[in-house]
Amino acid sequence: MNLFTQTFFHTRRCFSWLDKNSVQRMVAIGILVVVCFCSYHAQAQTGNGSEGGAIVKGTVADQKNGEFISGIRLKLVSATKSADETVSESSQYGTISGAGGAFIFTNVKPGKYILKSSALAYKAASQTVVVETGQTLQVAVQLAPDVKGLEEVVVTGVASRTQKSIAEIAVARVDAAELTKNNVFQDMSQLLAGKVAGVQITPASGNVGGGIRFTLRSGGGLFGTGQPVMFVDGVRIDNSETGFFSVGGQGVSTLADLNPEDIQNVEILKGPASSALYGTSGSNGVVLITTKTGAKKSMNSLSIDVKTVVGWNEQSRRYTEDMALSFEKANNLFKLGPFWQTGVTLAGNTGFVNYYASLDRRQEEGILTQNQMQRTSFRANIDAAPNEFINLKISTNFIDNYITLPQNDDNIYGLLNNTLGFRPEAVYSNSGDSLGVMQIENSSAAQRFIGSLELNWKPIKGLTLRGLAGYDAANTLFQEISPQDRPLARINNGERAVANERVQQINADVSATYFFKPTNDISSTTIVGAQLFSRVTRATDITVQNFPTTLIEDIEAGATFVNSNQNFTNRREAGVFLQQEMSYADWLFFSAGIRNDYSSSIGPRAPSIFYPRASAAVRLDRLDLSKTLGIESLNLLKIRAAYGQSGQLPNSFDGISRLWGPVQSGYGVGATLQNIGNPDIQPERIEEIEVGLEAEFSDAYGLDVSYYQQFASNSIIGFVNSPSTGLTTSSIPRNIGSIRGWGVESSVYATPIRTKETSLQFNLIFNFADNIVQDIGGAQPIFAATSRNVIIPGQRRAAFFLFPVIEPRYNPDGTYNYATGPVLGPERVFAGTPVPIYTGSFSTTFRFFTDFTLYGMVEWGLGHSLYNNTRMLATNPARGNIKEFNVLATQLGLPGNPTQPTSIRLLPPYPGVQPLTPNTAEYRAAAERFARVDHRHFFNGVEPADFLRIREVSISWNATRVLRELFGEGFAVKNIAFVVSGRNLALFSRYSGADVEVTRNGSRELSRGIDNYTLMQPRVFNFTLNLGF
Amino acid sequence: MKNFTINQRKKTAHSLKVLPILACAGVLALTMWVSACSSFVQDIKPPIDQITEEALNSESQADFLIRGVQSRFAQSYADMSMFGGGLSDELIFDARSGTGGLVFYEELDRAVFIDRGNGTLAAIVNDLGRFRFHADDLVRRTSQIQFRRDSTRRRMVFTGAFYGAVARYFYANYVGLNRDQGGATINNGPFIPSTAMHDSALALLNLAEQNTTSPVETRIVNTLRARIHLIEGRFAQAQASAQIGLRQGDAPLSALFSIAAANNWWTNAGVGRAVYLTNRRFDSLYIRQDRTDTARIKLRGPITRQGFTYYFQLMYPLQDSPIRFLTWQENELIAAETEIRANNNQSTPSVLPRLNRIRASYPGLQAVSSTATINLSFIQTERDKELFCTGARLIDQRRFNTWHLGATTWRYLPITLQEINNNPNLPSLIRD
Repeated sequence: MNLFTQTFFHTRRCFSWLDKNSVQRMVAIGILVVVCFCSYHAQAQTGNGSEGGAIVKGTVADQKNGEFISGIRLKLVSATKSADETVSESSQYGTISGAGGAFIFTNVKPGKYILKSSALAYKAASQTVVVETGQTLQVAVQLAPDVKGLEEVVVTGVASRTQKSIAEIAVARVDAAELTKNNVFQDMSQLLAGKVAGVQITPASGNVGGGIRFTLRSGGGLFGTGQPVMFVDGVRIDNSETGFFSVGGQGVSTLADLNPEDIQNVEILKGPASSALYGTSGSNGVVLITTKTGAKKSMNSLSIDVKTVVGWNEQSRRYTEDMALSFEKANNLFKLGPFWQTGVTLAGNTGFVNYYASLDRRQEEGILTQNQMQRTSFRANIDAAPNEFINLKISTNFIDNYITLPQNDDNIYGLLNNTLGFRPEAVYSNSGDSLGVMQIENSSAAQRFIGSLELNWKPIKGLTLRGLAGYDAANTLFQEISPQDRPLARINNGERAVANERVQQINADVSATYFFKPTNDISSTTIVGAQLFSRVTRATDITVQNFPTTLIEDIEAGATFVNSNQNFTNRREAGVFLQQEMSYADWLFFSAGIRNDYSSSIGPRAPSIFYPRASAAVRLDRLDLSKTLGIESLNLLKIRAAYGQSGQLPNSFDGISRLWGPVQSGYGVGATLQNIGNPDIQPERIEEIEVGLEAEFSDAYGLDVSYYQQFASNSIIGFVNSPSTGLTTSSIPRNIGSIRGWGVESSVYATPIRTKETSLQFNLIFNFADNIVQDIGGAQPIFAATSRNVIIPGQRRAAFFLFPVIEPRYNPDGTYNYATGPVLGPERVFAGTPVPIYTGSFSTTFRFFTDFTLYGMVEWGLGHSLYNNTRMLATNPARGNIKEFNVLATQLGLPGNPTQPTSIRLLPPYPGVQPLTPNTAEYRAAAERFARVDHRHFFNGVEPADFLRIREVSISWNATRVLRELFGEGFAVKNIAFVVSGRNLALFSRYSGADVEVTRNGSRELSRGIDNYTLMQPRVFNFTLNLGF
Repeated sequence: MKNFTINQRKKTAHSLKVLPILACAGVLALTMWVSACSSFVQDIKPPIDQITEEALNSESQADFLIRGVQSRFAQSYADMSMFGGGLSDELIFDARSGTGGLVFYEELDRAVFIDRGNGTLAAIVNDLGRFRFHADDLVRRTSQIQFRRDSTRRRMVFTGAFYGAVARYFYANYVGLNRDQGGATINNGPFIPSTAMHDSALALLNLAEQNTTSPVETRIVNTLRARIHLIEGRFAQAQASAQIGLRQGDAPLSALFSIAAANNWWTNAGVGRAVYLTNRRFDSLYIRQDRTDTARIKLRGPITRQGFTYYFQLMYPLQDSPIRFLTWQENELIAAETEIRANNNQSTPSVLPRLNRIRASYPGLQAVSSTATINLSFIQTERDKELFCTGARLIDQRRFNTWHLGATTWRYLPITLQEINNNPNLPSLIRD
């Protein structure tokens, strides 16, 4: 019985118990097929090498600084090919350079070979070697640095991958593994912020585990949350902001579940020009996260790395008397939020299998008492390539994440609301009890599995078949527990609200890629494929109050049932795509593709939607242009252009005209209208065109600049009905809008110094992104819930669009007329944009004394405004907590004045300030200013919020060399490094509030840029020890 | 070079052989996938907590629909009566009670500036709109259903028409375009002043009356009719309607609540959270004069916090305490008032018995002395006590011209920014 047959019967016996249902049978068959293939090809590979062969050995070094490099993949390929142009299995050899850059091939058959070398951060190289019988051949390999990864293979579409240097689109790739060497990141937002041109990533608040908002380019279309679709190792993951019992609008980010230490790289397709073949929902871009596989460190190796981090979060900006008279009460809320993180990773290679496993635990407290995160992540990845024809990848990740959020923002129990919002003697007036507020526990406990199985098979030359199944399932328990023994408004003897939510996302991708060269100069790649996606959510919740004791707090101990709910949703998407890629003479590249999409949320009258794309690139440097121009050092000069269409899906039930549901009442359960849809609804269509230029000189200086235009039509506008229609239970989706966006994104990089001991790198990112709403189909302007942000033709999306305050209003006797208020302009005017128009970052990495690395990054945003509702609410004379307002009011003689309205009359005069005399210049100056701090007019709340932030600073010392010199080569530790890093170290802004990177209502609403007692970003310090064995 | 060319030709030939096969396979795969995709996305499970509108067009769903309208009524009545109380001199806002900070509550109490864009205001006016929609929709839906029993149809029409009238009554008396101009809009239409809105309500009451299923429903319709005529100053018509309105012994028509759908008086002006406090005059003017009045003016207090003394209502001590909307006692008060008005602000022989029948319905409450001077002022006071915490005070203050704030203050809840922004028939208002 041969190996194949043995494997077949053995596997069938092993999985005989799976004959329970069809799904299990399918899984069993899948595993069986995979095992059979692997076994078959593994057997085919045996016999590689031969007796009495030669030895080829040598070292690999950096061409620029002469430093020996480990981890380089080397391949010795016979230069003598068979008649059919194939290379026989027995004439290929592979190895990986080890310590000191050394490599060795043994048992090499005599002959002529090409020695190929490749690695991240270096350009691929090849050289010819001739091996004679019994010879020991010494070879020195020198590799040129690839400072921006131009030769790395990057994703350029749903199933297309190519080198960055010939990509036809703007490629954004972040080498996360490199970043996490010298820094520590709590989550994805910290990892990516400031690293990618054209991408802004902003947390909604300073809460540990809180929501994150991506803004890609000019923001795509009008509809939806504007968030990209995200994949981890091919699994389409849930990246929503969640939270049943959100605290004042802030929720929990599902992205907080991902451990940044597991990530190898992140690639971002920034708009339809590149993401079109991802179909509907790809219009806001696609984020592709690849986790580590432990591959290619060295053959048959095992490495164990331990990373331990300790540190703390702290209040990044102290409140001052100018921000609130009760500033000390607010400052007293803050504490150091300690955290520690320990991760153990195991990575290696055995035969044709690369494996990676990690166990990581992060325990972190925020800067307010109730904020913490406890995340445990276990990942196991396998990448098996028994030969050149089969590649099997299995990626699994189990996460247990417990997050608690403090009460804040628009919330009567909010800690900052209760302190900053009231005069010092009246703090906690909103909620009834300070201790009770502090004891409210809002938590989410998520258990999540993310896994994928990917098989690439090359059955015949040039043809690659790819199949991938992805699964993301999360089970989250949300709880909000209010104490039984503290008096809290609206709560009788404690409350417990519990919700259980299960989210299940399944995706499947299949594709076939056929590559062939009709002539020497022309290459052709054809890709056909399909994608399926299903999302199911199930949720139940229950709330009870009135607990007889503090000792027992489970649901059944609550004597008063308050309410309960249950819901279920199911949404599916599918698409087929076809792409043709051509290249000519390695300097001209062209591709075009189409996709047809289907979705259960598209209206019944528009069952599918079609999207095209096309792109091209020209490598001018390969046309001998460098010689013509006299620029011998030109490594790369590429121009590119791309066009694509994509769309935004309506919401799940938008295609159904009206949905009714049950409502509990004193009359029993009745029927009420709960959702208003539109059967004619279609996806919003978004087109994008981009052109770009990339250049690199002397392997050290480079430029990457892109200009793009986005145009969204058929935009879905959530048409808000007037209350008088009674149809306000939801907005009504209509395809009536359009918006145009445009911008420039650029990065400039330089490595002026690169020696063995010292290197210096700079990276500058500059972005300009703007948009203008062109049409909303004659609908009335769409205002966010707070009526500050608007969607209206002629204005930027979500702009502050308000009635301007013109001047103070006086009574006939020259006194200030507070009752009527200042004179307002007759029309609303643009008052600011809640998203920065100009953004960028500057980072530098300086390596000195060989082993020390200093890294720093600043980030900025210009053309940015915030609505400071924290200040506006505290200005209300009933709260009387803003010094400037109180001083001005006293100067104008308003407090205690019986002729004034009650609210201002009851305001205590500010101590030491005397009323001014009406009709004097001083009085009028005070009146001018007072008119502009009057809390009753939204216009006064908009403030410029341009900023520059020292985002990241770190210094690291890799002590391996020193310790090895000290203890000799027998030193057991392969790698040891110490890192001290800080985040959000300083903020420079004219904004009068505590932080510019905050927004009420979390990270998904139209309402943006509103600071409403929102928690500031913390300053963070990390101390890290990396050990490698 | 020659070998290379031969190899190249062979390779090209190989590819050309393979290409048609691959192309056929690709086309076949695409065709299969297109078909599979289409059916895949349609094969989803429906939601479990919602149904389509058409599915409710059935006689068997009548009670489910009726309870939906009633639940909307309870919500709106609690909102209108409580916030109407905040606008009037019935309730006050004072941050010193420890529940300060809710801007809208304070703005309403001061009535100088009310932010039309305030979220709380938007919520209560949106709720009122939904109440009106559900009531009208119930009447409309009867034409879509084939009834086997006419009584079911009559119940649906009565409920829809009656509560449709109630919704319009709320619009006429609690909502205003400007500070002293009551009224609202319906279905994105032009502004409808209070009187026209009342006429619209009366028309619906006529429809309701044609579809009553019991005599008490007829009397309920007439008491509401009497109230509307009274507000409009049509006292003879009010008197006529009151005469056939609710009578002693009739159960009140109340808004019902549950723990899940709590009475807003409990939530924001009572035991749950006393954001709105009860004006201390109820203690100083009434209870201190006559302790027995605690039978109908239920207060908690005086409570002293940091030197500030306050009260809040105990009419609704629980989340599910009902609020009386129409009572025979109010019907008697309407009748008494119209009789006094018809008699030049002088009492008539029937007025005192009416007032004492009301008082007798409260255990221990003193009867009105036969020597008391009973005039409109007395009636207003009696209404202030009898209709405590039912939203009547705001209307009475306007009716009797006893407004407690300055001339330029708001006497209605303003039409919201959402209406102004989305209703093309409303002029743009300058102030935000």
